[in-house]
Amino acid sequence: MFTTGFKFFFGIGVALSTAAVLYGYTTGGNHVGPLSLGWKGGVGEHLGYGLLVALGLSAIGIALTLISYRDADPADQARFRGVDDIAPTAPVTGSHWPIVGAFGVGTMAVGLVLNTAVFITGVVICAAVAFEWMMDAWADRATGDPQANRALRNRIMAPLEIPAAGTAAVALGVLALSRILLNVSKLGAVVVAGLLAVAILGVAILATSGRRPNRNIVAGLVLSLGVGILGFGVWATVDGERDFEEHEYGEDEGQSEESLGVVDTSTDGDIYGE
Amino acid sequence: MTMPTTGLPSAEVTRPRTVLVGTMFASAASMMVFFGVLLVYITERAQARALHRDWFPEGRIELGPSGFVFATLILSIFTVRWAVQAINNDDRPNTFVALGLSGLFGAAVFNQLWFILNDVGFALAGGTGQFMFFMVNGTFIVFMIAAVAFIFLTFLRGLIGHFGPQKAESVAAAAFYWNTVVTMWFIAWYVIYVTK
Amino acid sequence: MTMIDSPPATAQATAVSSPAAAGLYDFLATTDHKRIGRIWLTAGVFALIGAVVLGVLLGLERLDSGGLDIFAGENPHFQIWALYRFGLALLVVAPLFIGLATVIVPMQVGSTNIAFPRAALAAAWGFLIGAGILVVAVAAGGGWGAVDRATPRELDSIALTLVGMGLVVVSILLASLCLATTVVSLRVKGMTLLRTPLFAWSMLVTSAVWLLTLPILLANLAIAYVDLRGGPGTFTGGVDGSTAIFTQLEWLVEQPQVYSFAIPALGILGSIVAVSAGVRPSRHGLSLGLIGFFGLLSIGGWSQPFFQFDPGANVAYDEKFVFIAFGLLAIVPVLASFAPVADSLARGRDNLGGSPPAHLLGALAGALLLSVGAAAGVARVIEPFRLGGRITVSGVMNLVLLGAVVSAVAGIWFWSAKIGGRTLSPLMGRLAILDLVGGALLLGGAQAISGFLETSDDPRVPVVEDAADILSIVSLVGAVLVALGALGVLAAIVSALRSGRTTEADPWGGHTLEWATATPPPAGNFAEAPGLVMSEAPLLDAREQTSAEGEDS
Repeated sequence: MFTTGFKFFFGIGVALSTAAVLYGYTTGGNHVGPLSLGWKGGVGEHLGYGLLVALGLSAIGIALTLISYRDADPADQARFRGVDDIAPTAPVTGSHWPIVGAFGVGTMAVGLVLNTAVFITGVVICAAVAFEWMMDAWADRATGDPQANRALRNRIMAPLEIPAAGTAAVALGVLALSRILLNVSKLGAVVVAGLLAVAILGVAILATSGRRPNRNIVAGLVLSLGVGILGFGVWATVDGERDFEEHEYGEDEGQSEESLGVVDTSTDGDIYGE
Repeated sequence: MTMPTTGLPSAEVTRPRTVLVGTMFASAASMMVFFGVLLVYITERAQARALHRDWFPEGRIELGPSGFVFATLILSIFTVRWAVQAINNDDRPNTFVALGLSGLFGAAVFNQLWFILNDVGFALAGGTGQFMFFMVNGTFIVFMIAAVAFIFLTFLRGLIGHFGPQKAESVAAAAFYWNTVVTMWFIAWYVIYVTK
Repeated sequence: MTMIDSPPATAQATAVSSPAAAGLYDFLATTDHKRIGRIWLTAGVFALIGAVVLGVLLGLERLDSGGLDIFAGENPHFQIWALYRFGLALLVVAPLFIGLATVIVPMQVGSTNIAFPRAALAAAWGFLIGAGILVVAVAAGGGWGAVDRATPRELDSIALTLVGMGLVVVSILLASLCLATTVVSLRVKGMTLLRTPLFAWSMLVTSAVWLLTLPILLANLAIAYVDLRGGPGTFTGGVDGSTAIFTQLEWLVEQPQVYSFAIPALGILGSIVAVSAGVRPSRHGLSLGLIGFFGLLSIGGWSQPFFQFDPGANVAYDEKFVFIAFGLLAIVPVLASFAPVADSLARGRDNLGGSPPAHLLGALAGALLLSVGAAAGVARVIEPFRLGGRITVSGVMNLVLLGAVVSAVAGIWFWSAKIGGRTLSPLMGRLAILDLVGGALLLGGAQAISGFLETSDDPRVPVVEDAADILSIVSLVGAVLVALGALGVLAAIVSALRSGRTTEADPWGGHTLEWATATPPPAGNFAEAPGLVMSEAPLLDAREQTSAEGEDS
């Protein structure tokens, strides 16, 4: 009649509710306060009493839900489905969205503390992941053939994903690279730009060679390159920009505004990293 | 290397009750976060009263606007139930209308709460009472966002043909979570706006 | 309105990739519960190494050696001490048990995978990211306090500590949700909850307790964070600015909540002993009940001294009736769990042979440490001893959590074939476990006793008694032994990765369904769906049936 899951959680609920009443009375509650949730009389120490009541009610809630599903026992699941034996769960295809989502949440967490733009980026990543995740979940159930499911999913999502991911990757890459170029020395900037050009050339050669690259190597390269650029970009942002020599406005070479006594304090020096 | 699984019964992706059981645990956990914040509110308020300190500035908290939130959420209980009933009957148009209405009620609740949070004229650093007022309402808003997102994603899954009468668990789970969040407001409303 | 109607599943046969096809992408995007579990286990083992190193440093700092200032200041010392406490629970014990359960529990209940495998994967990566943020933030001058003296950069680091810890807790909750749902919803036909293997049941209880209580910690973290970033300072500032945040969170590693991290130890004990003794588990229902009872008594969160207020009586509420009752009762299910264990061992003494295998030694030793910790916990709540705020609190924590670590190590040794298709060295296992147990007894035991000499739990308060100084040395020796044991565990795992490959499906004569899988288990776990389960030991049933049929014929 009563299922094991119900008995366990209901028992916990009753025990915690009893503990709440005892806690209420032993910490200063009076009259029928601890019995009536403070309706008539005091409940003693509020937080402990209230949390014990809340824990007890939550456990009872779980118990009632479980008994309404008969502990989700396989026999009951089969009865619910109208079959003799309930089938095991089918394999779920791999998906990179969980890890992207985890990074999105991490980005939100860091952005919450350090930078609003980073936080918003995290929110956008999480929203995109929620949508992609849902599409993956749908594709898993579309047909009984995993390959057909994958093709179906890609047919719908690729036209959205590729431009969006490309735009995001380019924007992030450009932002991170600009921070790196502003941070390193002049020579360093030349080296970084040179390396980038070589990397682009390498990717172009690979893309036009006609050979199908190994998926794991591509994943490793993209991951390393992305993490490297972003990591250095973040570090460069925190470290700040290098010292830039000041340029004079509208004057002959060698004559500074200061020497002329016409320093314009409204000049926006930010673009020179001041 | 592949592993042939010929002979196994044809696989179903999700066993029945799985999503509902997961949602039940998620609801319990969400409820405990909410209680964790609300009970600090209650405790701090009791301490302020014991020390004869002001909790809120007089007359700032009004029952009217928060009552509208209450009424809106009461209506939403019916619409989520409507969605569950409709999907069980494989009535997709009614399911979409009911889910859409529930989401709309959720949006209305955000609007009403935005009004309330501005109308009271509190500041986060304006004292423990005002701070905890924002904390409780903020916690509710976070869970309301989660519930609306759940409803929205369920709506989208329906649009792309995810569920039929035997796969109606997603709608039932969304309704379950929605009702949990609505319960949060009923408790917060009584504690904050009624008993002040 | 439907864009695409779902046709019914058409494939009667599918082909699924085996782990041999693993690559970097597959690793990152895996939905195989064994791989997800290994991510958790790897994180737990490395965090254990970090934690024991911190333990040794803290032990050194605690010595009255005159000016030994390892952490370069009082506040960093306090923050590292706090990191050790929270880290041992959240970054070591929780991932070890979650990892073990993520690998083993789905197989034990006869499922092809964990419930919500993608969520389980997100939880694992979320945990790694959260743990990274937490550790970096503490290293950057953050932690759980000293708000009153913090620079703006340190304030940011404190805030990052809180969000990192929050992310860790959310990840643990998500993993717990997947595990609890697996045990409830994905059991094989015939396996009622009463027939659930003890380890799977203990993880259901643990997950349920965490799902009910860790959200309270999230609420504490949210309040502290918002208060820090723009609130009135009620929860982070004032005269308690140095420790206010820590005080709000410390219930996590104190009684009764600290016991919640050791619930699976009882499940591992029951699972391993019956198999090692080669007998049918004794009083399975009683064992389930005892684990459930222990789970009930480990529910914390309601005892938060920071919020306790009674201007009239000026009495510490945490020393009142319910707190005392929880503390006194907690030892009962732990000790009672030894009754069915002793019965199994007595019935199977002929099968036990000479020196006990590492997993049996570890399971018994872990439960023993838990018992000693619970006994110290009994002393801590007996009011005349006045041990609240004394170092006994740390002693209880170390005994219980290190007991949990030893149990988890026993589980890793027992299930190593299913975790990674490897056999771990029994000799290295025995040595590592003896090191860990001896060290934990010295470390936690000395701290538990030192509390009677009025040694404060606050690391910044100097030791006053000479005898307490000696106990500090003893606990340092214990910390060193624990560190050696942890390194031994790591060495054994590395050694097995190099040369410990095995394909033996059931090396111990197991009773539960995980031993019906191949070694290493393929994706989907079972080549054939498990048959109807008739008891808590389905493989033993099958063996007994086969032997009965053999005798008949």
